[in-house]
Amino acid sequence: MTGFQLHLTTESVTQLHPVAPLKVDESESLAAVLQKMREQKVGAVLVTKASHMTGIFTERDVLQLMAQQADLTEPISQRMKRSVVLARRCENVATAIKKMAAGGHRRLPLVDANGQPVGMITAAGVLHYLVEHFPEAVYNLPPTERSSAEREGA
Amino acid sequence: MICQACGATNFEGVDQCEACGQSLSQEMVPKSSVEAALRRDVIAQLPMRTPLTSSPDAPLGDVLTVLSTNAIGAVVITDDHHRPIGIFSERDALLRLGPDYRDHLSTPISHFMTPDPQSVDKNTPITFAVHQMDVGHYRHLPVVDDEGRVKAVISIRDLLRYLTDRIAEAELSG
Repeated sequence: MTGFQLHLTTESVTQLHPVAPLKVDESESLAAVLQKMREQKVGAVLVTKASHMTGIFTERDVLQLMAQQADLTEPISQRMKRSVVLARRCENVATAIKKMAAGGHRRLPLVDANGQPVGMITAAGVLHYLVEHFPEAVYNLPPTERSSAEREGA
Repeated sequence: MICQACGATNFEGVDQCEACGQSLSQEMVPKSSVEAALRRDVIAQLPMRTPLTSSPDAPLGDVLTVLSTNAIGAVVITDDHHRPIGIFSERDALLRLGPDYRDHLSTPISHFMTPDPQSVDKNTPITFAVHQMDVGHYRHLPVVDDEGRVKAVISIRDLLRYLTDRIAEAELSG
């Protein structure tokens, strides 16, 4: 059986499967940004101005917009979050997980030593990292052991 | 003896776990308390918050308001017996609604939900839930009782908090 060893405090945050960030300009409209998010099926965009990151806009913000029946012609800068919790390339896996859990963030922009965004760390990437390290038998249980875990829907 | 792979109890002298087929003679000592917890813990160890539910006939606009005012990521859509038949999340709002969403605020949520969500129960191993979320790209899993009625929802955030707590315990114990 495969061993089951996590190296949460020694492995780099880059092991968490960072994805390429989708970047949009501050001046783009909400409608245009939503369209890009849908087309590329990404739950968050990094907002930039003159190539510098100035904010983040996520699907949670999209939901708020829709609940408020907001006008989508506004620029994204009016609705983005300007306070962004970052992951740094020098940090380890445990640090990134703690940052996500503490703030309830599902995504952390990954920045290099110069503060430039080079990726996006996601909660889904954390789960995938864990699954990669599970021995197969831990999750691949026979149906009798899963009970209703396999039941789908009603 | 207890199988270290799946937790099933086997009679002494058996070489192979009856439940998962793994060898019982192989030493599998977890390297840290985080790994030990992941081997041991089941869904019941996560916070069992009462889920927000909706009927499939509820208008989209009402469901969006419920999600927004409660600051949660998903509503479970249930049948008359409180069994999950769908889930509507902020992800669905992004991917299934377009810029003309205001034209559909009166449309039943059943038109926009993800049908037949994967469910777990309180005895499901956390590792299994993690695996289901990973392969199915789910962020939420309804937790159902023996009759299939939804009792809670666990989210990917709950799993991150669980991991963080276990990491903190491991650090405290040195």
